Amino acid sequence: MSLWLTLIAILISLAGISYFASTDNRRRSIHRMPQIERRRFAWLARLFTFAPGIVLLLSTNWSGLSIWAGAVMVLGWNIAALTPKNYSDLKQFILSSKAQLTQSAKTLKNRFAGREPWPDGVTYTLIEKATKRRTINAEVSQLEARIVALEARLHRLESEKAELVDVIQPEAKRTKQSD
Amino acid sequence: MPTPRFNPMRSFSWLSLIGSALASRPVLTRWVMAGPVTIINSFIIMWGMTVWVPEGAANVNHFALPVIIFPLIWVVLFTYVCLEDNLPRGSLVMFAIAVVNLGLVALG
Amino acid sequence: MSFLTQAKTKRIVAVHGWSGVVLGLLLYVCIFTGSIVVFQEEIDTWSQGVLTHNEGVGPRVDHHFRTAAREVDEKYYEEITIFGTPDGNVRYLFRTHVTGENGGIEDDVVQLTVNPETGEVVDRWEGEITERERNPKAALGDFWVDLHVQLYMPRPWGLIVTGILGLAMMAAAVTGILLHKHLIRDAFVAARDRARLVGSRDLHVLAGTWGLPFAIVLAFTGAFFSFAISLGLPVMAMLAFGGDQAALMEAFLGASKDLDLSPAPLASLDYIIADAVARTDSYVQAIEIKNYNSVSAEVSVRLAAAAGSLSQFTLGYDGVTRAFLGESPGFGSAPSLSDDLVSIIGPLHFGNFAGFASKTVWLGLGLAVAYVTATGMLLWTKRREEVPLWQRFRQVIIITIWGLPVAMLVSAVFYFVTLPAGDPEWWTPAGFLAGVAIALLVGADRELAERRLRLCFALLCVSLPILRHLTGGASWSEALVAGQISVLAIDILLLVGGFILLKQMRSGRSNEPGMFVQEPAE
Repeated sequence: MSLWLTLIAILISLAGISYFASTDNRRRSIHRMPQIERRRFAWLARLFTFAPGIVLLLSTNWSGLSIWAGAVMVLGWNIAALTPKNYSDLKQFILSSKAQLTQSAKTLKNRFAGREPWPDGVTYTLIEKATKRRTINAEVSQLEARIVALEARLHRLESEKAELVDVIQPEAKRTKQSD
Repeated sequence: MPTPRFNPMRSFSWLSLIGSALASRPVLTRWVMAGPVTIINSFIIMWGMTVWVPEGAANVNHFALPVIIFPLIWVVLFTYVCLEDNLPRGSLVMFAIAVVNLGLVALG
Repeated sequence: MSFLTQAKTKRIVAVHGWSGVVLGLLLYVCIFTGSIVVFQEEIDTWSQGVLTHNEGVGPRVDHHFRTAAREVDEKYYEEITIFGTPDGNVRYLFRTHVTGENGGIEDDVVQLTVNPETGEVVDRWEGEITERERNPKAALGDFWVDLHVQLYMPRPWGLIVTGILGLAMMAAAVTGILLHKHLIRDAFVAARDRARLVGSRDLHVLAGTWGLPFAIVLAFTGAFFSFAISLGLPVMAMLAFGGDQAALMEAFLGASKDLDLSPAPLASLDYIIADAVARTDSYVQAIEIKNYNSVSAEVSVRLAAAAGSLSQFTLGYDGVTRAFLGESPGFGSAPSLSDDLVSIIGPLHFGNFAGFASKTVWLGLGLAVAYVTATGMLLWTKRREEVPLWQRFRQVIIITIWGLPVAMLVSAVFYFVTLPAGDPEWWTPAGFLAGVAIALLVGADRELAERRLRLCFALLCVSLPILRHLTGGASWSEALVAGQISVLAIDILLLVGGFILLKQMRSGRSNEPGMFVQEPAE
């Protein structure tokens, strides 16, 4: 319980620190970003940064206070140490992966619905092969059934024919056939 | 940068002699002061504290507290010695700290 | 700050820089190992493949303890400590104080390890210990701790060296504040081009700015731990007690009452434990009994820090009447300011007051300070790029930065290989030396040193969990069933960390700056 409160306190303070970092003119000038006229939410950010610590202090939650102070210093350093380029790269990465994910979800949906073909590739070929195998199997079994039927018909016709031959010309016809 | 002339008591010419001797070898003097003198003085302050720090109900504070804050004593003395421009004055301060604390021990 | 004259600034730069250059490598070793051993308990669990849990002093401790105590000579009844071990046993430490060779006070000990369920004595060890309980299985954690506490040097020299390192770290922090005039203004300046001098400076200054308060806290508390025992107390005994350490100890522990050692049965420990737990919302870590089986017997129950507080605390009981005597201080006969200070110095240095959460934060803080040390030394050599000697030193720094983790992992390799059969207590440090040799060989090429050492480190990271498994360590499923998350967590951390490093190197990003260095662009 107390640990969750500490975690929330840390997140609030980091929000304040992030605001300061993103509006810091010295940082902006060094990394060639446009200057900011004035910090509109400076007091709010100050409140965000320090109030959680003061609350922990007043509630004499010493372990929470120590964890808060330590975490804010380590993570605050990380926030400050990443350059604006790191951040834009990160943002780019998140945005592009989000777009990619949405796109692939859409395509996948379409493919399962049969609106789009499966592309070549290990996974897709497997699916395609499975589908193809199914249709081939069906065709094969159809053909096999036909073959069985035809063979049965052939046998019947042959036996009928044999009976007829026996009556008319028994010996000569049979040897000629076996040659 | 010119070092301010050290001459608090003109009559003690031997003192100003020591002073000028210290000032003429600034690097050596500062090394000695920041090194051994600071360490020894920290221990002397620790010793002196046993006299004036209140014992407390448990009868331990007067010798436990000095041991605990020993690193802080050292760092304060060390920083002072590094920052002091006037070496003879610095030596005098360190000497005075030692004398006062040893005096406390002798009296207590 | 702007009150510094030019001469002062020059001097402070010299102090800051030279103290860093002279002691920086040792300081880095001390700080880095320190950040790792924040997780000593977890490392012990992981390395030994412990599947049981430390259940504290266990049930029916009263009965088992009395039975076991009958087998121990009465002279050891002076001081007894009972506590749970990580592998689920209970340890009874019977102690009497003897005067050692150099006049110091040493502990003569009988150490019993007992199964908490059956009360059977699993292990018995006797001897004089001045340092800590002995356990060859914990050789890896112990060695890493030793490396941090005293750089694996003999007592008291190692402690004195780490004490000096603590002082140097404080001096570096203070001079760093004095030097950096725009501490607040530059608090958000991320490093510019790392290949240039200004970039190296940014890295060091920014990490230093944010890490400063804790660097001072860690250095001060660390210097206290090193010096108080090795130097502070002996010097205090020499100065204020005429060299009489016994008198100092007596003053510490409070004026000794007249002891009545005539026999009297000890009150029920089970009752006392139940009473202590009922009075607090904490759990028992250890029990201490003084003058067992005598009229003057006293029982103290040490409890873990309550929620929201930093330090553990102790409740005292009369050993015969089991009367509650109130909270007892760590030293002295009554609560005192110095006792309060000492009781928070420990948690502030170890970061172990709120379990995993505080340990993680302390690991981060430690690594941040190690980073400040490393980047500081590299900055110093960057300023002297045209001097061959300093460039050689730069290579030594890089070998130390990456070689230390490599050597620590190689010591772990030796530990795991020798744990089932041999003597890990001897082989673990030997493995570290082998690791140092490997790091020196791998880092011999100046251009490729960092890249090769990183590769070496990554490969060790990936192979260590496998090796641990092959040498009979606990498997993941066993650990999961037993609820020992540490085993899994450390394995996964090593595997993931190793793979990320390897992937970074493979995906052609090897031309990007290392964590610390960037080779100048062609």
